Amino acid sequence: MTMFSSTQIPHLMRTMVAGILGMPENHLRVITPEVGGGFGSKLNVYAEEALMCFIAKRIGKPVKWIESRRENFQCTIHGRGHVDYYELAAKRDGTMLGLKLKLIQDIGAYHQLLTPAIPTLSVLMMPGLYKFKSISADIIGAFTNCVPTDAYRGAGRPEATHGIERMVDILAAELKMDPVEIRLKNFVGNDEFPYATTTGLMYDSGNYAAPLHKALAAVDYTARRAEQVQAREAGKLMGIGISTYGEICAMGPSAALPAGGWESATVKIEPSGQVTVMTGASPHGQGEETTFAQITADELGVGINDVMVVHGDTSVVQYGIGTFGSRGTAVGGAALFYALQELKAKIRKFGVMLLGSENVSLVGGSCVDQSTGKSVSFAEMVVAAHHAKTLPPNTQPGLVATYFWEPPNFTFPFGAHIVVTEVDRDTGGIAIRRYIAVDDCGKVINPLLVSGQVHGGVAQGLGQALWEEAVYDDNAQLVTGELTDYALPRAHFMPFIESSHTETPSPVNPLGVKGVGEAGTIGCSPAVVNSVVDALSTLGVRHIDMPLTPEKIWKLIQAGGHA
Amino acid sequence: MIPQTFDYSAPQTLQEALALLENGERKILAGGMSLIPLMKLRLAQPAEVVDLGRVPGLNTITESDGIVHIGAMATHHAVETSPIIRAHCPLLAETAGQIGDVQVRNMGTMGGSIAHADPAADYPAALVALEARIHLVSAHSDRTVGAADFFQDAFVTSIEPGEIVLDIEVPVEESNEGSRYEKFPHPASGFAVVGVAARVRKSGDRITMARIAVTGMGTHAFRDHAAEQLLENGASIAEAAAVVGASEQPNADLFASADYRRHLARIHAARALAAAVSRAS
Amino acid sequence: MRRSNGVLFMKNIDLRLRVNGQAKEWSIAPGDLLLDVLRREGYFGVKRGCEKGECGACTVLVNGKAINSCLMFAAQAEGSDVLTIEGLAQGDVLHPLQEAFLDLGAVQCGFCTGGMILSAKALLDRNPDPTVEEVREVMAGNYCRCTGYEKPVEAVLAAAVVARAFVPAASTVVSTFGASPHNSQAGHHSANPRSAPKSKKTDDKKRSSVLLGGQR
Repeated sequence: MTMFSSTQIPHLMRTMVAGILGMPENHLRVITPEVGGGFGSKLNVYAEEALMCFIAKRIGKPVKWIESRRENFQCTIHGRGHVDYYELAAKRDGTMLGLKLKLIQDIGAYHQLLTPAIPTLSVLMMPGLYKFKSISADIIGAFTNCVPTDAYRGAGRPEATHGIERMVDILAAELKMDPVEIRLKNFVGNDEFPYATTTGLMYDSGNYAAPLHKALAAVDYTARRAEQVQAREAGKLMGIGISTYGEICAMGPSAALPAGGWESATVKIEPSGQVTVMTGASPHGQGEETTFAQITADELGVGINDVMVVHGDTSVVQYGIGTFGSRGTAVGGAALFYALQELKAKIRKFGVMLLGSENVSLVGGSCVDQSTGKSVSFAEMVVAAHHAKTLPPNTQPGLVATYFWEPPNFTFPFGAHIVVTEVDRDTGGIAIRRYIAVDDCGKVINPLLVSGQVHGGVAQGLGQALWEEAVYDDNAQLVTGELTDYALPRAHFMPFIESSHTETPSPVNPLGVKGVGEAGTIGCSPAVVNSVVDALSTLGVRHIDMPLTPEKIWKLIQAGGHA
Repeated sequence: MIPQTFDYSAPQTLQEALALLENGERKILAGGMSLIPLMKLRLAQPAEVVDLGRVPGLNTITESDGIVHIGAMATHHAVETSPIIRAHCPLLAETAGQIGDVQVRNMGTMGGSIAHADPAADYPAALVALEARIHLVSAHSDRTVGAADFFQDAFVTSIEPGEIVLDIEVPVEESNEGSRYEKFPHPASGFAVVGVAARVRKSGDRITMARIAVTGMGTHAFRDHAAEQLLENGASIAEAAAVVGASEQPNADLFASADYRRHLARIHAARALAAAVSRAS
Repeated sequence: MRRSNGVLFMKNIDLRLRVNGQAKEWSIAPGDLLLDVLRREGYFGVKRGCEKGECGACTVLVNGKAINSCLMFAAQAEGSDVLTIEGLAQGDVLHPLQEAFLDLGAVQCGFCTGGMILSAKALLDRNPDPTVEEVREVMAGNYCRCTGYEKPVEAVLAAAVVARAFVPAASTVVSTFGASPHNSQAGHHSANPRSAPKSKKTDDKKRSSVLLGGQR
C-alpha cells in the first residue's frame, strides 16, 4: 500500500494509519511529495487519510481524495481559541512579581493529535522574557461543537506571548511608565543564563535587550514618540506598539512530545563523491533542502550542488519525526551535523591510511599531513572507501552514517517587533505605517531563508491581529468557511517589513541555531494590538481583543473608548 | 464544486444568440465571474449555457453625440484602461479599477456584472450616478432602461426573459463636472462593504448639480435624492453626507452592522463629494 | 437542438487552442473548467487552490492576460493562446522572473509561485517599469501564506530591472517551444531550488542569454 499525503509527519502518519487499519507498518509506504505549507494543519492524521487507504484496500483500486477549500476549513483543525483571564502582581517601580492565568481553551468537538498540548505550551511560555517569582495557571479545556483546535503556527506560544505582552503594556500604562523601560527592567539578565523559569523551563541563552535596542534605533523611537505628540495635537490616532517575545523552539526533548522529540539523518557519500542526505524532518517550504545542503557542504568541503537532500518517503528515509515546532534545523540539522562528524572521522581514517601518517587533519574536504604538507583529496579517500582494496584497521567499507539525535533541551529564540499604526478615526480602519522585526534565532545559516520565515510569520500574525477569525452562527455553522469570507493578508495590504537580526547562539545544539519558523507570528500580534491600543489610549482604551476589525475599532472610538 | 451537467453553445452572431435565448432554460455566459461560482455551488443549474464570447462586436467601446457606448462584453480591465472612458467618463474607469483583482478584471464583463446585480458590486453606484442607460435587446424587442430603474433588488434587474444587455450608454461627463468613487472593500472578497459614487457640476463655487449613488448598503444601488438636493441648495458636503442613506434599511452581516454601514456610507459620501468637487474646479 | 425525446444529453466539445506555444486539440465536456483540463493534460503547475477565484493559484495567461483558470470553462478558451508556468522557461533557461524568484528567495512552498510569476509576467509585458505599488496591486490577486509577499514583490522589481536592461532588438520572437509538462507531484526528492545566499546575479552575459533565448 502506497499513500501519498500532504503531511508534515510522513513517518508518524505511517505508524498511525497502519495501526488504525491493523496492517503491518512495513506494508505501508507514505510518500510526501513537495507539498505546500502546513503551519500545523498538516501536523495531524485525519480520518480521511486512513479512510482512503481502507477504501483502496477494499476495492483494490487506487483512490484519490481532494478536499474542497470549505472542507479544509471545516474538517482539519483551527488554531488559538483561547479565552484568557490574567492577573499580574507588580511593585510600584514596575518590577513584576507574579502572573496568574485562567485559560479556557476551545478544544472543539474532538481531540486531534496534539490538541491538549497546545494550551500546555501556552502556560510554559507564560513568563515570556521576564523574571517572575510566582506563576499560577489553570487550564480549562472546553469541548464545543466547533472545529477541533490544534497546532497552528506558533501553537500555544503566540497565545502566551500575546497575554504577557499585553499585560506588560497594561502595567506600563497603569504605572505611567514607558513600555520600553518596563521591559528592560524585567528582562532576564544576560548573566543569568541558563535561566530556570517558574514554569519549569531552562532558557538556554539570551540577550533580550539587544534586539529591542536595535529595533528602537531602527524605528527611531524618540522621534516617533515626538511625532505621536504632534499627531495627537492634530487629532490623529497614531500608535507605537512593542512586543518583546520569547518562544519555545526546537521541539523538542522526547520527554515533551508524545511520540519522540528527536530527529534523524543519514548521510551517504556516493563513490563519485556526491552526497545524499536523508532527513527524517519533512520540510514543506521552509528550505531545509538548502540549509542542510549548506551544512553538509561546509562540513565535508564539497560543493553545495553535489548534495542532494531527500525526505518524505518512508521507504527511502529512516524513521523521523517531522517538521513542526521550529525544529527542522535545530533538531534535524543537529542530527545531520552529528552524522557528518561520524563520516568525517571515518574519512579521516582513510586519509591516515593513504598518507601513512597519524598527524593528519581534515581540512575543506582534503586530508593534510601536518608534518609533510602532503594531502589526499576528498575524491581519493571516497574512492578508497568504496574500492576497499585495503582498509584502515577495524573499519568497514563504504561511507554512510546515520544519527538519531535526542536534544537535551528546547531552544529559546527571542526578539523585538515594533509597529507604528494610524487608526482612521472615521472608519476604524488601521494602517500599518512601519513594521520593524528584529529576531534572534541563534546562529543564522541562511539569511535569505530566515528573513523569508520572518516575513511570512509576520503576515500571518497581522492577519490574526486584524481580521482572521473562525465565526460560527447560532446553529454552530462555520460562516467563515471560504476565502470569500475569511480574510488573509494580500500583497497590497502588507507593509514593508524591516527585518534584521541579532545572533545569540544556542548552547543546546552544535550549530548554535534556535529556530525561526514561528517567530514572526509570535512577535507580531501583540505588537499590532499594543500599537492600536496605544493609538486609542487617549480615549481611555486599555485593551482590545483580536481581531481588530474596523467596526470594533470604530465603535470604541464612538463610545470614547468605553464600548 | 462541480457544476451540474449542462449543454454549451457558442453562437457566432447576435441573432443566433437571441434566438437561443428564446428558451428560458438557457443562461447567458459572459465573463463567468458570477455565473461559474453559482454553478459550482449549484445555486444555478442551467440546462444550457450560451457563451456570448464569440459574438463579434459585443465588447466595443465607442463615443458618439455625447454618449459613450460600452459593449456588454467589455471587461472591467477594458473599461478601466479605455482611453475613451478615461477621457469621457472617468468615474467609470476609476470604479472598474477597484473591482476584485486583476484576474477578475481581465475576465469579468460590465454586462455580466450588472445583469448579476450583486448588492455589493461596484458598477451600479457609478452607473446610477452617471445616469447611464442600459440597452436591452431580445429577438423581438429593443429598449433602454435608466440605471436607477434597472437595479431593482438584490440580484434582480429589469431584464425580461429572452433579453440580453447589449450595451451601456453613459452620458459624457461635462467639463465642469467632477466625480469620484470611494469604496470600503471587504478585506476578503474585495466587494464593496459600501461604495459611493459622487458626481457634481459646479458654477463658480456653487454646486449646480449633484449625483450621489450608494452600493453595498441596501439590496441594490440607489441615488440619494435628499442629499443631492441639500447640496444643490447650498448645503455643505458635511451636511449633505450626514443624511445619506437616511431612508434606507442597511444590510447587516458579519463584517458590518447596519449602523456601521450607514456610517460608512456617509463617510465615503463625504470623501467622494470632496474629491469630486475638487476635480470639478 | 441536441435534444432527443425531450431528454437533454451532454455533448462533448472539441477544443482547439495553443498551450505554451503548442497546438492542442482536446475533447472536453461543457462543464470542464480550464483548470481541470490543464491539470488532466499534465500541466500540474496550474494549482487547484480555492476553486472560487479568490486565491489565484490557478492563474494562467490567456492571450497574455492573467485569469483564474478555475473560473473559466475550458470551452471559453477555444482558439486562445494559453501560457502556463511550464511554458515560461526555455529548456533549462529560466525566465528572468523565475531567476529572480529563485535568487531572492521568493519561493517557499511554491504552491502559489507559478500563479504569482504569471501575474507578474502579464504586468511586465505591458508595464516594464512598474512601481512597488503597481506590483503589489497586481500580486493582490495571488494569495500566499508563506512569504508575506515581500520577497516576491522584490523579485518582480528585480526582474523588471533585468528585463529592461536587455530588451532584445527584435521583439517579434514567437515562442514555438513548449516544455513537456512534468509531473511535479511525482518526485519525492528535493526539487526545491537552491536558494543559498549567492550574491544577486548580475552576470550580464548570462542575463542577456536568458533574455534573448527566453520568451518575451
